[in-house]
Amino acid sequence: MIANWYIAEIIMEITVANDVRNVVHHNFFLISANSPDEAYEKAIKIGKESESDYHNPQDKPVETRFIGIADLDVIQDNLADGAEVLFHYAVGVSPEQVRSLARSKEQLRAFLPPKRAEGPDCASSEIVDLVEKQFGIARPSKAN
Amino acid sequence: MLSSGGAYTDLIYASGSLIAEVGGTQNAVPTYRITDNLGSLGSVNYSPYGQIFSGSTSDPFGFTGLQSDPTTALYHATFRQYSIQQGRWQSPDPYAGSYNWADPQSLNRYAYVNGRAMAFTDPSGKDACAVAGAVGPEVGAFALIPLAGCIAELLGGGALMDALFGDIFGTKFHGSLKPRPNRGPMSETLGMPTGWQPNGNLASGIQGALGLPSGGCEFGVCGGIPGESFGPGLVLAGGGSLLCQIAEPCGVIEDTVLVIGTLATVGTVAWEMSKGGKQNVGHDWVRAMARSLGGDYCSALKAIMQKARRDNDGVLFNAAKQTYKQDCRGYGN
Repeated sequence: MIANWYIAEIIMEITVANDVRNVVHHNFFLISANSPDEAYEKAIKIGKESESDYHNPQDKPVETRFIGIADLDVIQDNLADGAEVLFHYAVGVSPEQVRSLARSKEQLRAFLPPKRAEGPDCASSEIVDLVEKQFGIARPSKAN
Repeated sequence: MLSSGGAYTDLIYASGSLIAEVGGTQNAVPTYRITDNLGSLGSVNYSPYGQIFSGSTSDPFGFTGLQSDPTTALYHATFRQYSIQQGRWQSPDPYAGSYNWADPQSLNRYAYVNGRAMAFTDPSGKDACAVAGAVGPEVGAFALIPLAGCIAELLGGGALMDALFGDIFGTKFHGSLKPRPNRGPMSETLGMPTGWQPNGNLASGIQGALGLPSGGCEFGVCGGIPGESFGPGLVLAGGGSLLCQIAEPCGVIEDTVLVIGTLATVGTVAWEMSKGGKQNVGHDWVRAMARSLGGDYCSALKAIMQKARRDNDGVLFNAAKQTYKQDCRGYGN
């Protein structure tokens, strides 16, 4: 049976001028394709199209570059409520480690308040300005 | 329509108004109706509530397009009957969404267009509809302009408005604001808040500045705060204020009325709408916009992302997405 949906892990590297620290994003994309090869090509295209160049609010150039595909997997379930899209497995995990994998509800990302990322400022000054101009909302301070 | 003489007459409606009649056969030449701003027959002088001052007519659709019944002397709207002698409906308003506790007049369920008969009509019998092009003392607090059905046209200078209303008045949203928004002073009331003034020259003012085509399938009510002017791109610039109420053609579907104003105004109204207590806005994106307008920086970023995606603007989308991740989703591993 030909799977129609795939999940691609796309690696992007972001660099900010004059900052030695890079930022690496693992981005997971849903891809609809009739074959793994087609899905792979689509993933490459998504990665390339995700590249960008702009300036951050400190007017430093920010570059986002596509590094490659970390993984491409088939989604076995039909995409619907409750569908499983990704799984990992491990063998020989200690009880302590197993327990540490589960987090409380409040620690889950969906329940976390917005938070600015650590490291180089990868925001776009154009976007920050746009939000302020059109929505009247200033960029929150880093201690948000 | 079958007349008393047994002949058929085709009635031609456009934008919810009767505009022409074709008598006898389908090949006959249409007779176009010349009406006043209320849609009443132009050759007859009517009082605001439908009584004839001067002139006469046998046209059954003389007063605001309502069909008269010579037997009962009542006028038929879609949902109830109106008496021009009494200036009121013969049965209470069947539409629960047409009243508001903050507007006592609306609680009179028999009142005709809430007592504002020079500016509103009610072809359905359910609720008052603003009249395009209406002028005069009754509309002294606002002005009416015809829009082209696409609120995006109105957005012109403001990306916010583009973001907010371009989607709302796309096919996804059209007519889905039911029940109507709350008739608060800054929201749905058909008129401007106290102190607001009409734009003086609609042709070159609001309409011209915003590039609105004349005529169309929507009607809007626009006005501004005294002392502020309109111009290309000035709708929001410098805190400029513009309030528009957009309605679907009278008598076709329930009005859809929204507000454009200062950021605070829009935010307040949209926020009220989003809460769903008074309104039923079933559009997730509007809710997201409302949240962003309420001061949520991250929702504003998401709104920009969504707009960029709709516009197929990959550069803006990538920048907005990256900014969103940077400023809102910085959880790391």
